[in-house]
Amino acid sequence: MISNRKLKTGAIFLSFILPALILYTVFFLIPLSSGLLYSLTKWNGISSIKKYVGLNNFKELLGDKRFLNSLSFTFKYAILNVISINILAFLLALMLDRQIRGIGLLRSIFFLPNVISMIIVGFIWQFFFTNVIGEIANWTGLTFLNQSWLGNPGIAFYSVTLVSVWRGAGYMMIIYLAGLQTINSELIDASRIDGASGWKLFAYIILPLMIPSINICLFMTIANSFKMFDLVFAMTHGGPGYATEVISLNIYNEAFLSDRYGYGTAKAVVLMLMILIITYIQLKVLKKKEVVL
Amino acid sequence: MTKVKSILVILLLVVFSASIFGAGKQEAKKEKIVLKYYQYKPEIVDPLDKLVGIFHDQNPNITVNIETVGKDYLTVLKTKIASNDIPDIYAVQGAANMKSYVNEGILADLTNESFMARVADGAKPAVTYKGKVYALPMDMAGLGVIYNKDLFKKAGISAPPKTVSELKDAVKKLKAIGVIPFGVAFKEAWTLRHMFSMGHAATVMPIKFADDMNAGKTHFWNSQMNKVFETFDLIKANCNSKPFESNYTNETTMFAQGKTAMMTQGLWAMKNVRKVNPDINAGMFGLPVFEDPSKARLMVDVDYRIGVNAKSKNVEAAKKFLDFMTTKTATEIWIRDCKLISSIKGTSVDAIGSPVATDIKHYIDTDKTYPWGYAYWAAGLTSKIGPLMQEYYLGKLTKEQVCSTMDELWAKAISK
Repeated sequence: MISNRKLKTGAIFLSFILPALILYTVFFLIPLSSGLLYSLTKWNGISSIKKYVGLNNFKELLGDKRFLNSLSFTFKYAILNVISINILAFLLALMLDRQIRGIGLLRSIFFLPNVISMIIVGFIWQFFFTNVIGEIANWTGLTFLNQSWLGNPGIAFYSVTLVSVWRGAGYMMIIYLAGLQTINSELIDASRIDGASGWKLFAYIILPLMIPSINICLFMTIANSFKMFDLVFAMTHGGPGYATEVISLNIYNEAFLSDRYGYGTAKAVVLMLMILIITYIQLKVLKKKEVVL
Repeated sequence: MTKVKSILVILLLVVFSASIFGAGKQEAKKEKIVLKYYQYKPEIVDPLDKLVGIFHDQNPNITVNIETVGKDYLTVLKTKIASNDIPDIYAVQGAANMKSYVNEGILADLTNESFMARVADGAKPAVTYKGKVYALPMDMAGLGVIYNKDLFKKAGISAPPKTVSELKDAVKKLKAIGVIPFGVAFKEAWTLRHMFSMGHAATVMPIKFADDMNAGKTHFWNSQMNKVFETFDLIKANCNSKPFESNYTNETTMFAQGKTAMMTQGLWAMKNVRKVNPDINAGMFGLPVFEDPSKARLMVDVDYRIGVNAKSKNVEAAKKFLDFMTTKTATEIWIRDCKLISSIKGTSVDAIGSPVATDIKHYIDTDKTYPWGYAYWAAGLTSKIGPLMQEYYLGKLTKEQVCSTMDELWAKAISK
């Protein structure tokens, strides 16, 4: 028998989480389940007839060359992006973890790119790469700047990653800063007394204690890299040709421009499963390495 | 005290959520009719506002709200259809899409409407499906090579080229006076779709081609495509630097500034050009893809057509608006301010004040036109040809592969 008091407290707790629970159900659980259902159909987005085709969509995407291309491009991008953002953010956090005057201003400056919406960032940089940097090259005579930053397939890959790192590093820097500041200064002092300094201090004291932060940042950057859409959409639109087409852009093109909602949704399901598996493995592996003090 | 507090908090939450729902209800009580008009040409938003204003003066109980989305028009329209928020009036882009809308019952049959009698016969095939008319064609647009007449004169080119050899000759003369022959916008896939279609559609009969493709009886590649691709190669070899980073604004601006002498575009592009250089002396000629001058024609077809959602609650009011758009007042504003050729009978192009429009009208009057190839392609194909041509230009695909990929995509698109 549940006591009256327990019911009452239970009801109060429920009413507090109810708004969030409703939002979660409506905006996440319901679209997710209807998406899973749609991935088993053939639908052109306009007609009200959705034909059930079982797992045909999944069989087809295994042989879809463009999809596999976008998979490999996204993987390449994800690896470069994750490594670059995390190294840069970690270095920035190390450098800005001090109490000098104006440190707040410095940190804000590095965080600023993150405040701008991703798609605006994409358009601004696209304008910059297309129109501005050529002029700069002419004025300063630095001809190597006069590349086809977005038009050359090989270079476009690095241009897009550059912008993504520029924009994302600030956010991860904040997380690493928070992580650095939770390290007890007594620990650092004690290890200095024991003779550890510079590299040894970093590798054996700071790094292991930062594993939770690294875990979080890796998780976020990996998921974000695989889901990335607005940047590529604004800067290259997947071009030239299909050279910079990431998975989400491929899905968008398939569903909206080719009128294949069912097939597009199936690809989206595959993307979700991939991110799920990769981040699960990552969290599991790093969780083991966490140092509990 | 805590009991009262917790009740108050719960009440607050309820009030907050109720107010979100309550706010929407007030709108439905008005008696006036509001029509949603969804379209894709950002260039004509101001004249459309004027037209809507005049219509409202004539019919004070009907208000038309215009929503314009340029590049991703079809995507947003599909989202609207999927969420059952279908506009009352919307612009129909392409015959294949029109078929889907008709089959889904969201385009009203306009065959027997009185205002359809005012439409020129040449504009009717583009809006006809299974013998019935489902949209009102507003303009006849020409797609070809817009060229700078002054630069051509300066380079010593006496007449617009009609054959591929004449085009090559013109290119040489333009380079001799230091002008970039072609301005391109390869970054925007739709411009490549236009260019490809200009070339391909000239080698077939576009409407019959679409029917044959649907029956599996023909392919994109034919013996004349080699020559067509010669022209495509010529364009790439003589265009502005960094073509893959060049977009529509860049293309029209360079043309307006006289840096380039030609661009493969449609009449609508002149609006952008005029903003930069209102006095430019431009004309249009059909893209040469043959050696026989008598085959030189211009791709002219209905571009902008608007239809009425058959499932709308205000079908009669929407049809009234379409009727208004065919009246003399409306077509005058359409021609003069939108700078487009009207598909309504008895209209002239003088008010556009553009030699480009006059050139197009000349092709129409001498019956040297052919329909827009891509408007009749299977659904979804129009967005694929652009990236394929980009890959061709990058050397990743051969011209035969471009065509065979289009064949595969067509077969997939029509498979049940």
